Amino acid sequence: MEGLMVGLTAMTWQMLVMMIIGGTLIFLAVKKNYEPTLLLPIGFGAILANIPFSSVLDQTESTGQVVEGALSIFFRVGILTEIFPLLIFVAIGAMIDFSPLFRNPKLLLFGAAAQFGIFFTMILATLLGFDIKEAASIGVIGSADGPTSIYVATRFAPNLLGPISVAAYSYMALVPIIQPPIIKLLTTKEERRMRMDGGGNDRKISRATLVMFPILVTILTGLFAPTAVALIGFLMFGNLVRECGVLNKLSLAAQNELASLVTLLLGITIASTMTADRFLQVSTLFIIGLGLVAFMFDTAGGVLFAKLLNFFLKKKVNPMIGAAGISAFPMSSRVIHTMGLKEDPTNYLLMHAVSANVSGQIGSVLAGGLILALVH
Amino acid sequence: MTNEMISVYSQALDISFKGMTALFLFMFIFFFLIMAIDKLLPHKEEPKK
Repeated sequence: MEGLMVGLTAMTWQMLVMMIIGGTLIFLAVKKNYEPTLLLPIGFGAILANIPFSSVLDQTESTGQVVEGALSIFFRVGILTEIFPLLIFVAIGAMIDFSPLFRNPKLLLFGAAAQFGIFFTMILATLLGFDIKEAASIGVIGSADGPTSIYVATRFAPNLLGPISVAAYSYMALVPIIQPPIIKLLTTKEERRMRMDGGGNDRKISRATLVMFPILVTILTGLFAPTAVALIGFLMFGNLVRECGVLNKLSLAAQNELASLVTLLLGITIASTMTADRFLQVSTLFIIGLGLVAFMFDTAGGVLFAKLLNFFLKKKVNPMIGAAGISAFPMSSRVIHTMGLKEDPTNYLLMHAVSANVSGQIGSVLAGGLILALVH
Repeated sequence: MTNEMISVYSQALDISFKGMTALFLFMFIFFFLIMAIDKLLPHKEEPKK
């Protein structure tokens, strides 16, 4: 009988708190539909990982023998080797349609400007006492791109992987709440009403262009920043599978089955790092706060850059489009489109916002790769 | 702030400057790349069968 009580007697209040956090994440996923594909597995994994002597984690027996746990094995095989995030990049690449960007390539610049939050947050994190690698990993939450955040954190701060992933995916789901007040604060009513010309929205793009783009981007990025090749390369490989036109089955499999399976495993595996002793730290609160700062300054960076650009452009850009330069696709473009319609019900900004949003997907992955190259 | 914190902070500033510059540079390269490919390989309507 005593053996059956081992778990119960070893339970601490910290473990209970972690189970409540896990339950909250499941609630947000199920009830509020906040990034359910990731937050639900993370939430359930957090509960699994905080059951005393949980067999999903490695346990050392009284004889000193280590019994491997399933989630610990997944962590070593899928996360530490970076295989899970890279497979997710293949899936994301297969989902991205770059043609809106080809129709309006100047919006590529917003994909760079809206990464400002990453670097601003990194600087702020160093002031709070994080070392440079931890600060960089925290800053990358601002890429608004879960797999990039996980990839960089795995390399630089595996100890912070749990809170970074939770912050990244939570704020991605909260883009419709985070972005509008910042945009309103930085723009006037007239600016938000600004109309943009079609930008060749109905222009057709040749298949050769769509096929050449991922190949050339991979080569160019690789030549200048070899450390970013894995990130950009897998993303572009997925996109090549999509655009080549002869691998439709593989493209659909990458977009659906591969994305679903790896996301499921990624979420529940990350949760294995969310044990009470690692997660319930002051640093977790800092990370959650800094993640929000990163998203806010990404938005501000994009909007302010658009306003700056308007000094030099003949055909002005609606500054709200700059905020869509983050990677949260298609959430951010929808937010901008809806805000535009609220100001003027006949002003359709969706296609422009989508172009900026797609550029944000390239920009965020590139920013992650550059951080890997620059931080030593 | 300790000396170590100041050193990490200035390292972060340096990385941020280089990172943002490199990001814009890459985007400019991709911009010209798109213009070039689009010019070299324009869309042609396929003849109707």
